[in-house]
Parts: sequence; structure tokens; C-alpha cells
Amino acid sequence: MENAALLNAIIENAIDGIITIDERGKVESINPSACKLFGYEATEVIGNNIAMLMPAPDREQHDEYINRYQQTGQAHIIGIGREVQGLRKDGSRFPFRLGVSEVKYSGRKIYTGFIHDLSREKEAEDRLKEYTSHLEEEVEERTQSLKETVQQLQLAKEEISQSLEKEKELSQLKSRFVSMASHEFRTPLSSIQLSAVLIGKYAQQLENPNITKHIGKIKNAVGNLTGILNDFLSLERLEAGRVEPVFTSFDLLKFAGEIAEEMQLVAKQNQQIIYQHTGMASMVMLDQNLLKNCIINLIGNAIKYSGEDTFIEFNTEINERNLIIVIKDNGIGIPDHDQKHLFEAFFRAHNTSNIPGTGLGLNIVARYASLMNGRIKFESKVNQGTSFILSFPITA
Amino acid sequence: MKIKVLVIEDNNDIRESTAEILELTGYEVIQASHGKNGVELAQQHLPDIILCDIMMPELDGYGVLYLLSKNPDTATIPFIFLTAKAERVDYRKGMEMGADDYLTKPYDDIELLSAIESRLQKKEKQHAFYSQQIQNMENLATASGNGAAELKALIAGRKINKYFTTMATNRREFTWY
Repeated sequence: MENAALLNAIIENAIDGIITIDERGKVESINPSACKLFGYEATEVIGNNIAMLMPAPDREQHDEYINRYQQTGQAHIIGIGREVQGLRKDGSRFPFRLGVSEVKYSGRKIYTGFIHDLSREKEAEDRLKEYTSHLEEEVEERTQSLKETVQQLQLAKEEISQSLEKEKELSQLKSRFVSMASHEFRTPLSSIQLSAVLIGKYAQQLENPNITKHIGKIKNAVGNLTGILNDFLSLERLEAGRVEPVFTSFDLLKFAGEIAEEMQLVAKQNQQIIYQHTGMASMVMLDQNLLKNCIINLIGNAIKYSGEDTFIEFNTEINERNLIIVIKDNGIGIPDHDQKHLFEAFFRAHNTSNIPGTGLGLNIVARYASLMNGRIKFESKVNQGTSFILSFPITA
Repeated sequence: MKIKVLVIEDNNDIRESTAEILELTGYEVIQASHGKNGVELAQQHLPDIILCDIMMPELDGYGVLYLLSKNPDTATIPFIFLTAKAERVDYRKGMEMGADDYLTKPYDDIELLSAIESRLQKKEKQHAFYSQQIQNMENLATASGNGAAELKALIAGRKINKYFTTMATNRREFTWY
């Protein structure tokens, strides 16, 4: 009896529900856990068919299940267990794991069902499912926003390529304009120049100094404009990458001496260009045309931005490593805040407004110098003067 | 006799002013307002020197130069391009085609006249040189009684093969070294 009491205590206190039924499916016992699970009092269940705890369609088919098992001996649940649905008294359903064992007892068969509530697990599972579907939604959303981003990027790319196309067109237009200007402006300039020459010739016998003066002014103006056109053309060719230096070996002393003489002719009243060379060697390997252009430009600036009765120093030096060319004047100088922009195209220092110029010269000089692997720098003080220093590595 | 200059230029102002400057300097000037006319006038008048614009409708300056160089009568006439193109590539193209000089617009009287004079001087020197050569040949041919025979012998005796052997020998010596 002791044993029976223990067994009973175990059953009564088990967490899982335990129900026993007879061969016909009638409930013989139900423990408190099972009652709680299904929401019935034990007395409401005992004596009734187990089908009352089953939802449709199991409820209707339960008798058939039992018959089939008893005839075929083929178990679907017994000894195996499976997940099924239970029907509570209030009509709600809940999932549980049902384990059924067959018990032969006092010459008859009863079946014991162990009911392990799966509500919580199911809930967790459902939550998991929910999470999954939520995740999928999230992924879908993200994918969508990614697609949108990609689309926007595509659009931006198109916009960029469009503006690039526009930029190219503009650049071509500019290129065509520069080329047109430098060619087409030359024809009327030629007319002006030649007519000025002829006026000069016809006016010779009049001996009127004013006519000579004005013809000089016209020729000067034509010369200036031609210079500007040449600068435009040089810049255009530089930007199109059409300037390729041709390195040849030549005598720097002779070359620089000639330039100094040439520039002396266009210097102001009593401006003296003094050329000096330091070093034993005098042969260099550079592009003569480009270098000449650089030096003429720098001496031209020195002439332009310094007054009458001044010296312009033009020094060259060849040492073991470098060729250094210095052009120093005592002119108006370059204001400090303008210095960093000095080599930009079309930039002119603020103290030059009374002196004509395009702001292209130094830009071109700097580019020519770098095409010949050279560098340009300068030192300047306002109203004291400026030195430009070109240096090229010696390549023997 | 005045020196004849042919100016081929489609722009009236430039052509007329250039012609006027040249006339005032003492040249005789023939004017052509386009390339085709220029070629015709060159063949008709055989000028001493030709000034020619490059960019002209129909036949441009390069075309004029090409046509004139095909005709032996006009091929040796000094040819100077007048052009608004200031790029080195254009300059090179003109020179490679056989132009003698190149004036970039706008040019003035000094550039114009010195270009013409230096071309004419060069031509004169060449002319003097070749006429001297011809004179020498003639002298040789008439100097002795059988000058013609001697000249023939001289021509036949030009040791071309010997010249080549010397070259080869020199080269061998060079490689030996």
C-alpha cells in the first residue's frame, strides 16, 4: 500500500498531465496538472470519452482510431508520441506533446496518456516565426532601400556624366574660340599694321612728329594684341597637351647673351639689362624655344614692372647639379597676399592694374619650366623688387 | 629690270597694302586674290619670288605650292608663306613641303622686306654659283683642242667604285678599332 500511495503522490504532483482511459476511450483518471491544462474539474472528465478533450476533426474520428489500432495493432501514437492539439473547456486550443503507453493491468488494457504542455514552446516558436518573417520584411525593406540607393547612384552617375559631357563641350568650345580668335584676329590686325606702315611712309615728307608718334602707338598696340593672342594660343596648346619639349644641346652663354641684347632693345629709358654667367661649363640640354620664351617673359615682366633708370640683373649659373637662371628687378614687387596665386592663369597682382597684361605669362613660364623638369620660384617685396629663379637639373 | 613679286592673298586689305609697301620699295607686284589665279599668274609671269597666304577658299596655299613645285618653270621660285596660323606644326608642314620662309600675321614692313631680300640674295648666290660651274665646264670644254673628249674621259673616269671601296675600307678600320 505504501507503494500505491507513493505512486499516487507522484501522479498527483507531476508537472505533466496524466490521463488514463480504458479500451473504449472512457477516462478513468485525470491528475490535477491535466485538469488545470484543460480547465476541467476531474469529476467533469472522469467517465466521459477522451474525445471531449480533442478538437475537431480528431474528436469525431477518435473512436475510429481506437478500433483501427485494436484491429491492426498498428500504433500511430502509442509508444511513439507526437504533437497534438487539445481542446480546453473554454473552447480554446493548446498544443501539447502526447505520449501514450499501453498498460495491461488485471487482465484488461488501459492506456495512459502523458500530456506535456507545449504552449510556451509554441509561443516561442511562433515568436521565432514572427521574427523570421519580420526579418524577411526588414530584409525586403533594406533591399528596397538599397535598390533605391543604387537607383539614385545611377541617376547621380548619369548626371555626372552629363555634366562631364557638358564640361567637355565647353572646353571644346573654348578651344575653338581660342583657335578662332588667334587666327581670325590676325587678319584685321595685319590690315591695321600694314596700313600704319603705309601711313608712316606717306607721312615721311610731312615731317610731323605727331604722326610718327601715333603710328608708333598703333604698331605698339598691334604688337601687344599679337602678344596676347600668342599667349592664348600657348595656353591652349599647353592645356591640350600639345607642347612637347625638344631637348637639344646648346651654348647657354651665347643663347642668353642674344636674348639680353634683344630685350635691351625693348627696355625702357636707361633700363640696363646686365647679363652674367657663373661656372665653367656653358653647354646645356633643354628646349631652346621654351627656355627662350620663359626668359623673354621674365625679362619682359622685369622691364614692365620696374621704372626707368634701373638695372635688371640677368644671371645664369651652371654647377654640378643645376642650371639656375635668375632675373632680378627693382620694380613694384608682388604683394604678400597675391604671391600664392601668382602662377595661376589669368591672375594678376593687385598693384598691376595700371599696367596692361593678361595674367598668362607666368602661368605659361611655370608650365614650360615643368615640361623641361625645371622649377620656378620667386622672392619679392613690394616697392623693392622681385627675383625670379628658374632651376633645371643638369642631365649630362 | 624691276624684281617681280607675286602676292597671293584672298584678303583685299592685306594683299593691297602688302603690294603697296612692296611697290614703294621698288618691286613690281602682281596680285592674285585666290590660289587658282595665283598659279596661273605664276606660270604666266614667272615672278622672282612668291608670297602666298595659306588659308584661302578653293585652292589653299599648300595646294599652290604643290602645283608650282610640279612645274619645272616655277619649281625654283622662292616661296614665302603668309599666314595667320602661328603654331609650330603649321610652320613645319609649310617648310616640309618646300616653302623657303614663313611670315606670321601680323607682320610689318621690316619683316616683310627682310624676308624677301634674304630669299632673293640666297637665290642670287645659288644662281652665281651654278653659272660659275657652267662657265667652268665651258672653259674646260673649250680650253684645249679636244676639250670635249677630255670632259668625256673625266666623266667616264669618275671612280665611283673606288669611292665605295674607300668607304668600305674606312668602315672596316673603324670596326677593327
